[in-house]
Amino acid sequence: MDSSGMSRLVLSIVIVAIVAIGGVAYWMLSNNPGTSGSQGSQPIRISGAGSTFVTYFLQTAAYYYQQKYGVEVDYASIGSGAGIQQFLANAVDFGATDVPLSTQAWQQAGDALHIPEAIGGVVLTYNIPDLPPNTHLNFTGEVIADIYLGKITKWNDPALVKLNPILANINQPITTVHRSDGSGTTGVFTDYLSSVSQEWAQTVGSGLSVNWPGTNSLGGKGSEGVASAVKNTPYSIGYVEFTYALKNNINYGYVENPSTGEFVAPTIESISKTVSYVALSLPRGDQDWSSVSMVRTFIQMSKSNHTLFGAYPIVTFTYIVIHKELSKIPNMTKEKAQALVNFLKWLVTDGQQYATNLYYVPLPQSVQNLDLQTLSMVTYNGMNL
Amino acid sequence: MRGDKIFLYILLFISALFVVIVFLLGFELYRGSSSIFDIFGFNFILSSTWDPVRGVFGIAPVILGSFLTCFIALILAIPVALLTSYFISELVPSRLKIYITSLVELLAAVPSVVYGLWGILVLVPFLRDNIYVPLQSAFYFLPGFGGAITGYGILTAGILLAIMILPTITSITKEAIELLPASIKEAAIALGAMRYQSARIIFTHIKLTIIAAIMLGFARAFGEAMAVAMVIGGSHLFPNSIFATGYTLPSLIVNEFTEATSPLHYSALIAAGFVLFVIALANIVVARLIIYRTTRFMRLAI
Repeated sequence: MDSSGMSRLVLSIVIVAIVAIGGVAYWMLSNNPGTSGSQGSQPIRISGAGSTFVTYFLQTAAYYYQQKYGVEVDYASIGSGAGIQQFLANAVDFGATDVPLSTQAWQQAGDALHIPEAIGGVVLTYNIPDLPPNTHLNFTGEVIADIYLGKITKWNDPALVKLNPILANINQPITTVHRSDGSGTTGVFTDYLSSVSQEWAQTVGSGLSVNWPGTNSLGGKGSEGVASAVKNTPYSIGYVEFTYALKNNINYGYVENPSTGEFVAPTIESISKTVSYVALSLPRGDQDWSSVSMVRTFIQMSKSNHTLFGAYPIVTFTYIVIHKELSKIPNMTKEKAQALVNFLKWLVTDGQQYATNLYYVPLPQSVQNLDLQTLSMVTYNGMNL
Repeated sequence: MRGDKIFLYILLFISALFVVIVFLLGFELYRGSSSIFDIFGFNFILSSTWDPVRGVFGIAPVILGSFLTCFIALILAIPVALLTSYFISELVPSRLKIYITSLVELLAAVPSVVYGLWGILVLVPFLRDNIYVPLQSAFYFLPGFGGAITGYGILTAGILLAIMILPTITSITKEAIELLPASIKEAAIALGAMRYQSARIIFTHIKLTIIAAIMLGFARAFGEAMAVAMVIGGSHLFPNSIFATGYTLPSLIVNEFTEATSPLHYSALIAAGFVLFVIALANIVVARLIIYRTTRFMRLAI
């Protein structure tokens, strides 16, 4: 390299370094609550972080909220696990998570409140080229569990043909597709399989990432990864999040409603039906929610002879978690605490209209009431807001 | 000469910064993963169960997957990259050269997530229908050619990585060929060397650069997270055929880190990062050793 090339290289390195350092400095300054804080003249900024699932809903709702009330809500989509950690470290004003806090995390937080703010469902999707398009297959919980356990390996297995006579001649091995990234979708799906299948509960269990059984299985990254893996792979079955399936017009299966034995399509109505039914047994917002599971509650209620027509079984809440006593968060002022509570009250009531537009399932009235009751417990320096 | 001194201090400070950053990085990774090594010890590296629900963590198949994908990528990329670099620097007319060079460099500028999308949408179905299925029907009796074919897997990830590291190896090798004194090339031609013979002579002379280029390619392939995560199929089992799905260390981390809600799961992923860090360091040390030994032999030869 000649000397002019060398000096040009050095020059460009210096320029890149200056730009990078300037960028980092700007980022640090603009993120530092100490400088952007809460002088009366500056607009109030609320920060939240967590679940990727609710990102569109929260960011859209936050946009309209700012248009209307001038309060800025920053939501960082960093995943439920990271969101919980940021919440526990008091680094954000609220956390958002697809699973309730574990008992350990709940005790660590001391005064966490759970506020269910959106509803998720899981939809089964499959790719069988021989079937006419938009054929809706029927599934029971046991059959889904056996497919994912690798016990049902062919599409013309008697258990499947009994539910779907159309499969009688499909002598093809089943490829199961699952989420390879940790996700709330996997959380509710494995929770469902654990509550319908003893064997699943004992060998696999439920969680945001699990040890997938079965040898003919495939992991896709994200809902779009699973959806394209199913679309790409003939004779495969996968599960995707309801919102994603609805937005992308993905062909889905019907799942047995354990309380009636009917096969139910996943729709906004059938999902909110389950939610309003199960919501009656939810704990108070300031209690330990770690064992709350709509899937499990619904199946237990079905076993004790409650019947509910048209309810889709694989549903879950996603939660916002906040501290009951907000003054423990650094840089929190009374005005900001009030703004946070106002925003959350709006989010679980009027804000729900944006849920429907974005294909999220809106909260039924009973859950909205529970949330408002929870939010009325919030205090700042011991005073109610 | 005061300016010179200040300049020297600035340089010292910057180079010290590198040492500090690497040291802190390693320390932080070790600290974050210490609870995993306390519980599982070396079993973390040697065992194959990854079960976040029950809190059992072992990454042997993941480490194997990392090496396998890189190995496949290098085997496919090295010959193509070397021949391409020879072709560009020696055979392409100089007016066309700039276009072909920019095309190769463009390949390096494509973000890895775009490679991943292309992998899912184009490469996976193409390989499955046109390569894997015929391959299996031709060699089904051989071990390692059975199993299900989904198109996703270690082999696909390796092929995708090969495309991604191609420009790295090609452009470094091309630079080295162009910097080679014309006298060497002229001597080869004067002796009546065929094209492939003169290529061999050239490659022998830039052996060191080629090794460095390969090591850089290895580093890129070994650290690639996003594109691999999208096409490898995410399986924690040891591969049972060449079509099997698998995992690599970076893709495991990028997949599970954001939603790791239990402290042990979290620290298992940091431990995977620590293993990755150690292997990357080892890669550099090995590269240095190879270069050191080769140069010593060359000095002896002279």
